[in-house]
Amino acid sequence: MHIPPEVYEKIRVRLEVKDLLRFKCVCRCWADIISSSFFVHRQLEQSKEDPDQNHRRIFLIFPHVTIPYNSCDDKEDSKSVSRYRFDDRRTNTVCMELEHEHGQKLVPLGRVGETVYISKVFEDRRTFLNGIVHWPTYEPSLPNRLDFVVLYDLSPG
Amino acid sequence: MASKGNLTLKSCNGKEFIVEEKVAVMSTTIKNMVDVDDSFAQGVIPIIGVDGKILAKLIEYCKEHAEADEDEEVKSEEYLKKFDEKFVDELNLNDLYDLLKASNYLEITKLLNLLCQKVASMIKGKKPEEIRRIFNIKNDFTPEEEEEINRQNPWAF
Repeated sequence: MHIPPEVYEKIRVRLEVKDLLRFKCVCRCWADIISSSFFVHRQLEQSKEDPDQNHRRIFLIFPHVTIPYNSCDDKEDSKSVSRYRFDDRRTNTVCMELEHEHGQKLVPLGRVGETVYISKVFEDRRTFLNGIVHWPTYEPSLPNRLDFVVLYDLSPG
Repeated sequence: MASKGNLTLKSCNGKEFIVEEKVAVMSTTIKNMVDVDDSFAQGVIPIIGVDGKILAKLIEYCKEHAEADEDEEVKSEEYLKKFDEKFVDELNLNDLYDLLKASNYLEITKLLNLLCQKVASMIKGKKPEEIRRIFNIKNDFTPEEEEEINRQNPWAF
């Protein structure tokens, strides 16, 4: 059965996150497309049009705290974001773990929100945690500051 | 020849349909043909690669929607929603795929979106191997790579 690529795209943007993550196993082509920031944006646009489905699709986190890159260590190079995690499932707080030579520091980012704004997604900093894909994003006018985290699905099932 | 205000559409297997222009131009492709070349408006418009059965289905859909666009009181949003549901529910798989391709080629956006939504709900919850079978996609992952994707998002499987 032959379906034009642009039609496949229209089908995929209408899928839920859980299905999308599973369908990355279909083939390399599907995996690349589903993982691309272009697709994430398209899927986000689509889910905005479909309010019933919003809670199953992409959520954005708007941080209450901007990441203090220069506050936890002196040497800039030794700091890196190791991962994101839920600090508290009940309140859905998302934390960012910063790794540095004295150990790790947890920086609370914020709570689950419905802000629909993305400026740029760091594709290469994609992180998987608790079965959820996270993309840090930033506001170009604020260099070296991570401003948003894009998440795939906070409430599976 | 079709009378004024009507267009004649001819399927790839030679079936001719006389339809109102407002119905036919639900297809952006046909609209562009008619706008650019007046002779199409008087003559027969060949619909390449679409057989009579599928063309009849397309016309049925466009007729309902063109009439609804013209008079919202006669065909309410509620009515259209019901019509759409029934329309896609009654399609068998082959017709669904043929309609997908035809509505993409003819640029009948509303119908294409409706059909893509239908396919998306059809493949929801399916396993990757079922997706490969449905769309005839070859698995080009090694077992190890597939395992790695499973491991990243165990909850999705």
